[in-house]
Amino acid sequence: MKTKARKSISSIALASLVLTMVTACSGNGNAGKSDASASPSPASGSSPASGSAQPVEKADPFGKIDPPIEVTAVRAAAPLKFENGETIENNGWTKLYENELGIKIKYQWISDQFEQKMNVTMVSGNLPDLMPLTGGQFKRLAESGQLADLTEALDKYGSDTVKEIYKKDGGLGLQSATYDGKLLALPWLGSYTDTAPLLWIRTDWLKKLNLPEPKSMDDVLKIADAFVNQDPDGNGKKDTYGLAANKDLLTDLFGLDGFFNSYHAYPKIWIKDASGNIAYGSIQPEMKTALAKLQELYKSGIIDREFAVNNTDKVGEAANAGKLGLTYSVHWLPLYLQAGKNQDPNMEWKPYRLQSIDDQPAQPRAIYAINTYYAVRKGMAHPEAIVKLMNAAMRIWPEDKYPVSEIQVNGDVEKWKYRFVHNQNPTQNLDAYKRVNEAIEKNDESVLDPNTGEPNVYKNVKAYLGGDMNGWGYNGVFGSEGSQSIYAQYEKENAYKISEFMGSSTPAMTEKGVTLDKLELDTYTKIIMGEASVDTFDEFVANWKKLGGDEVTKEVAASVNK
Amino acid sequence: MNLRKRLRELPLHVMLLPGVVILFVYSYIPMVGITIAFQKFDPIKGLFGSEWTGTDNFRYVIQMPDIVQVLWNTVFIASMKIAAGLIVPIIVALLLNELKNQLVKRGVQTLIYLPHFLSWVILGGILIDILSPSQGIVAQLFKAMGLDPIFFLGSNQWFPFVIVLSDIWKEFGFGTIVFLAAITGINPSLYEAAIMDGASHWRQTWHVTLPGMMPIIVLMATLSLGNVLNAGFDQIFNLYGPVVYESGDILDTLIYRMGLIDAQFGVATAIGLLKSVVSTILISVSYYMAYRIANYRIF
Repeated sequence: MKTKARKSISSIALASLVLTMVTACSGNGNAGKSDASASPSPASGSSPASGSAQPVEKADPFGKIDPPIEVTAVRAAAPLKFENGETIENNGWTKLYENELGIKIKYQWISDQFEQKMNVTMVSGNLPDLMPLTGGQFKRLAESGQLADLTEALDKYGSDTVKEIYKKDGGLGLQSATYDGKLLALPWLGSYTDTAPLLWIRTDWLKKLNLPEPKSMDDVLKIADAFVNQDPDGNGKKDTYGLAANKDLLTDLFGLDGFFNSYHAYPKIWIKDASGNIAYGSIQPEMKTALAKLQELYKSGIIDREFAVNNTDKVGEAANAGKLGLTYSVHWLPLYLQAGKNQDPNMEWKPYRLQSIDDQPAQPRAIYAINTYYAVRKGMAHPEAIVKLMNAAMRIWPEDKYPVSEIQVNGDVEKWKYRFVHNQNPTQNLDAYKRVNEAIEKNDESVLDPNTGEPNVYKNVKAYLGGDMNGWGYNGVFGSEGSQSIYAQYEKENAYKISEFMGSSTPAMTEKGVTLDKLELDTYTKIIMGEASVDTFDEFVANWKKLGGDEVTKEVAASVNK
Repeated sequence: MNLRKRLRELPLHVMLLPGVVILFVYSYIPMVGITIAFQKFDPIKGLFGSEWTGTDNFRYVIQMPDIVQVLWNTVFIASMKIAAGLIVPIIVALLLNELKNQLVKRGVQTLIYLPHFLSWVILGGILIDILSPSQGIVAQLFKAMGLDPIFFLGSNQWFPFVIVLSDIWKEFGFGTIVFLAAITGINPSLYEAAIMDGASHWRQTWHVTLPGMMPIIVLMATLSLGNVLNAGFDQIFNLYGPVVYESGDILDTLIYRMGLIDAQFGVATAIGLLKSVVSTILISVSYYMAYRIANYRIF
């Protein structure tokens, strides 16, 4: 029901490589550092959870709590580096918290098995004042009424920057943290642009077969056909695949989401139908058309006949071994394929926009992901503390008092990680792409934001341009023709199809999820393999509704429209 | 029982102690958790604070649309595994027993029980490659014989049999050890007597070896009946996909997916409890039958 990314360990490692470049500052007005990307807020049908009717009296977002307070907290022991005798309880950020905000954080525990430990803490009933929670943990604590209402605190104390960021996703992030009209946590926003599928093609094969780059969906299908039948690897054997697919069908890597999006079908996400009602993308008529096409492709051998038993890692092996030339995958595919590039230096992958089947542009689907929910224990005297900590994280502090080398980065010691609360501009990877390319054009590193992972990306892309193959993966993501360049175009055109629903499962999803998911995957796979006729789709839709889908739809609609 | 006899048995009881303690700690104390099956369990409220829902979880399981099919798959695959897992090792043990060359016998034994130590994660990957209808060895053999290759892991007709066969291949060597030990324990004078009576080689096997193995065979059969709802989670999990849900989705994989989507502790516990109850009944019945028919008792 929710889009579940099943990733192997290696893919997670790769994904986090790109995803964890947390911006320490998403340049805002009052800091005198202008943000190059004034990205338009996506149009939103929902009103943000904050911003109530009567304006509250504004308080100073960076004011000191007087007398100073000591709060308890817990945190994950991420791999942190320290220098000059600093520790997690005594560093630039703890000083800043105490001197500027009057908040001293005392950790009940710090664990590298955060989730298990937090679950135990939740059961023990000995909750700390401030908690970084996973979606599931947040939901459980919210439902059992253990969390403080932060609505007023955010309204009154939230800085402009923080409020701005919460508007960037159309208020969906805050909405996901709202229960019964109460805001119970501050979400750390992920980037929705990074969840969108792109079309990836091996351009060295294109060149070899003298094929033009794709301009339409027909071109894409022609290319896929040629990659199977015209021996692109030149070994005289018919051992290459056209379009990649794997047994879980809808995955970040080697999935079919992008293919469906080309047909204006949006499996697994919640969209608004023609009459403006919330509807489940997987049961819309556009799916049927796309499935019929996939059935055809399977029959003609363009999709691997054995996709139904191969997981993404198996497909990845085939891609790295040079057996695959066309796939729909998210932005970090080149990092995953670096191993293949090392084996075969001629291998060249390039991302393209999704082609559309008709004259309407194809929209890539996107999902708002939330990394962490920062919540406050009910009954804590100063719930505004969490808001202030977030303000501090998103502010650019004066250099003379808090030098970058103390609170952001010093060499390879990333000090922004010492913060208790993080947030990020959802467009950080796009910003990195823009600034890295500007820096390369001007040959001037000062363009880069030193508070982020940008210098590291710059180093790698620059190395690649200088002929070092080890930077190939980074170049494929952040380079001038990398995946982020296409995300940037989509962002500019506001062309994403963003799921209307976010947050954790509704009760019916929990109850019916297994059955409905099984039905869906089972039907799709059988249709593609030709074991069931395309018309089975209609039967599936009726069954889906009957077996609880209608109930789920009602709940989702209620949660979106609340 | 007089005191002296008790004292003489004391060391035996002391030796039993660690086993009893482990059983108590790991099997009896966790039984408190069975209460979860009758609750809408919430870890925060804990075992005694969660809402009691009576038999709701069981009803939910029974009402799941595909539960009948999943149960059928489980029982079907598990029964085949139990039957083949008993018969194949017995036959292999008898055959190995005929080998006079000790070196060959040991070599074969070692070879066939090695796969037991490989995990299904590894074997799953190997099996997918071997059975691949385009490049796999099996497909090449089919082609050489002029047959069309079969997509074993992608067809609901074949999937359960692939599961059973590959499981037997992995485990039969390990199962053989027990029966070989049983054969070794047969009194040689019985064979001598049989030879005196003019029993052929085959007759000796039939009248001496097999009856001598009977207690162990009955014991293994009795114990394995408890597994009628265990079709082997890790094997199937590594080999199945949506295309063979119809024939390969079993109770354990279903519970696993429930856990993936949203930990429904109550429901998972309910299914687990059902499995245990069914196993207990089956073991009790088969034990009783073994006593009545073969006059064999474990205790």
